[in-house]
Amino acid sequence: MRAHPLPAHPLPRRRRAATVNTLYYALCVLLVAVFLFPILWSALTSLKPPSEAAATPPTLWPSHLVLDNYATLAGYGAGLVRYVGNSLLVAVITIVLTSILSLLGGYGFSRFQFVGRNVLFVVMLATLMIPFQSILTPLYLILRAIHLQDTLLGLALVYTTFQLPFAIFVMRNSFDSVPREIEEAALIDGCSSVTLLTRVMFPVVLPGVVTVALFAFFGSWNEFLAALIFLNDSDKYTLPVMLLNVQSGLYGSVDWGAVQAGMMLSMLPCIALFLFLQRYYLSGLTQGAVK
Amino acid sequence: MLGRRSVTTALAAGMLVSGAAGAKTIDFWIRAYNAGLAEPLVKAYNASHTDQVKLNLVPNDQFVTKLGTAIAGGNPPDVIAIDLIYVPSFAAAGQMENLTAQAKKLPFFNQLSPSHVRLATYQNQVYAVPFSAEGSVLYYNKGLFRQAGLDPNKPPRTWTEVYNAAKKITALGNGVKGFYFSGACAGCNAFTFMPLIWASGGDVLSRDGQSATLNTKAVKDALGFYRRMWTEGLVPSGAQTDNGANFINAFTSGKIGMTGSGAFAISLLKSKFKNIDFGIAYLPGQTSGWSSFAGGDSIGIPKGSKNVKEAWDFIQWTLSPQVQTEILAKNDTIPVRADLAQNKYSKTEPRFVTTSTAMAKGRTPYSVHYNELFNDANGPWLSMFQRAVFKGEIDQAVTEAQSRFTQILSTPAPGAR
Repeated sequence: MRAHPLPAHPLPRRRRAATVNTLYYALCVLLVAVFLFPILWSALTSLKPPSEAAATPPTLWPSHLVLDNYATLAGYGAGLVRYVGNSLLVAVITIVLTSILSLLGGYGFSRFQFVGRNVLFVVMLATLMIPFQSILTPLYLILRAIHLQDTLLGLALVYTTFQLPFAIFVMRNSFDSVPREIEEAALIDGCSSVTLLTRVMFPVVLPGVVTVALFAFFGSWNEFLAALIFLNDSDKYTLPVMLLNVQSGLYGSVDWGAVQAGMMLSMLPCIALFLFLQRYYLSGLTQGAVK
Repeated sequence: MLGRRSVTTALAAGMLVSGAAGAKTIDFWIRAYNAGLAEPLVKAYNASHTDQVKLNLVPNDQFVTKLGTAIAGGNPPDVIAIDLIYVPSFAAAGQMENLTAQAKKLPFFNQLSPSHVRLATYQNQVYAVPFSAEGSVLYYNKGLFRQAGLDPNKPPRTWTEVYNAAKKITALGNGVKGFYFSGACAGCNAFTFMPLIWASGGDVLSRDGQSATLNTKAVKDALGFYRRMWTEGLVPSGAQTDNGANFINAFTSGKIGMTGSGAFAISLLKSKFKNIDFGIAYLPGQTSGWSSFAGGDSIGIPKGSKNVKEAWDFIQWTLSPQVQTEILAKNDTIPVRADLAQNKYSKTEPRFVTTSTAMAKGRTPYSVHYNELFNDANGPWLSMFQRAVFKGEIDQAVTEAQSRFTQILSTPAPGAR
């Protein structure tokens, strides 16, 4: 966001700039407040005693801070550590597989000429249009046939499948934006295709890889339906399914304190990762946008 | 008596038997909110049996989706406990094992909760037995009764008395309201509003569940009673949009005089909201009588289970006197056998006697279309309730619901073969 150059004005230039800056920052602070308020609200609610969290009309500030809601989560079923561990394991497998496969796929689509290259790419992207719900049962049958139903690895494979089209798209754009001269120089120096990819290209397309990994993390960390359907053993549940179990009572009654505590827990890694990696992430998304 | 071991020794505390040769694992699915009831039960079974039960908690609202996929995928669990109202449609769809022979051999079969057994019977065959029992009752806040000058030991026994008490309690001000219902929750109002109709001599379906009986004075009067409390501000305005999320929360805030709820709320209030002095009464009829919605879960074996015999052993064990008394009643749950309703634990909590009596005399609508009619958030039951209570168009609402009910009831059962 840049202030437009203003026409000549009686005020000295510096004062005018200061006014514009003040307005600009005031607006930014206002916007940040609007976006941060719900998160602050959740954080405060998660620290209220359960009865207060459920109170109608709700109060903003807790009467006193307690960790009861977090204790509810911690003590549920097989223990919170187990469910967070399940989620992390699935996320890590999804990230690793998605990153490696999209790196190779993107490289192939970007650098190798072969018959039907564009058709194949479009067909692959078209799979984004298939609603996941419509292929639940076939996927379930496939997973059973390969003995991966009710396993975290099977779930991670399903997530990887659904992450790949977008990931390959991002990686192809990343490779497209790398000047060919770099490759030619490396090839003259005697690099093989594999060395070229790992030693020369990889550092250049790293922002793309980070972007793909972030998307794979968010996708698998927050996904609910597949985790619910493909996992039978409730000790293997991932965080979203477990949180729904904790919060819901009879006739749809909700334990609001547990909901907010669960939200804080599932949000933290997402925010931390995003802040930590945003430098890469932004350039990864725009890589190849301008030629 | 079936099974390899006598049921009476089942609870004898044994060593933890770890998967001995030939031991089967019984996959048991329940709705998540039943965890508190099922966990001690499964623990006790596993401690005293070679076959081991693996308990899996499924999110409440996703149970049917998940089970449907598992059955379609040829990999169903061995035992399920589902809301008793779903058994007719599951049985009609051919998704449940026929348990008639085993169930009728039980010496106490005629003692099982009549509502559960009726709902578990489809075309004269039994497809499930009772697992947990629940009866709807009227909760009232004794503290607010006292403050409003009402006798806390004399709960209301007619609609007029409910209305008068609600008016006096609302007059206390400070955000206190006399009555509460979840106005956008179909299931909640089947559970707590339907008994008002039954207690006044009306009904929503014919006895055989084949036709709708909504167009009667009892139904219109019950809707009119709620409408009156709503227009006079005796109910918080948030009730109109509550989809069930605050079904219990409203009463636990301590600012509600009366609300319909079930036995499950007793232990919740006793453990987490000790400051609320509450009493339990029956959901009254217009001028006399009372009724209750007999709810809870039924337990059965889905078609395609690979361990039918072991599954039945486990189900039969859950009905044994020791389990019903020493596990269920001890953990504040109503036994599902009439001959065990009075036990050493029920004597210590008189409020449970009320809920058990309510459950035993309670009713449940029987229909293979139950979900479409009563539980669907866009279904005719809730539409009628909302149009009548919040818009005041009682006659039109009832006429419309009667015709929508009739149309749904004339279609074949979902998944029927």
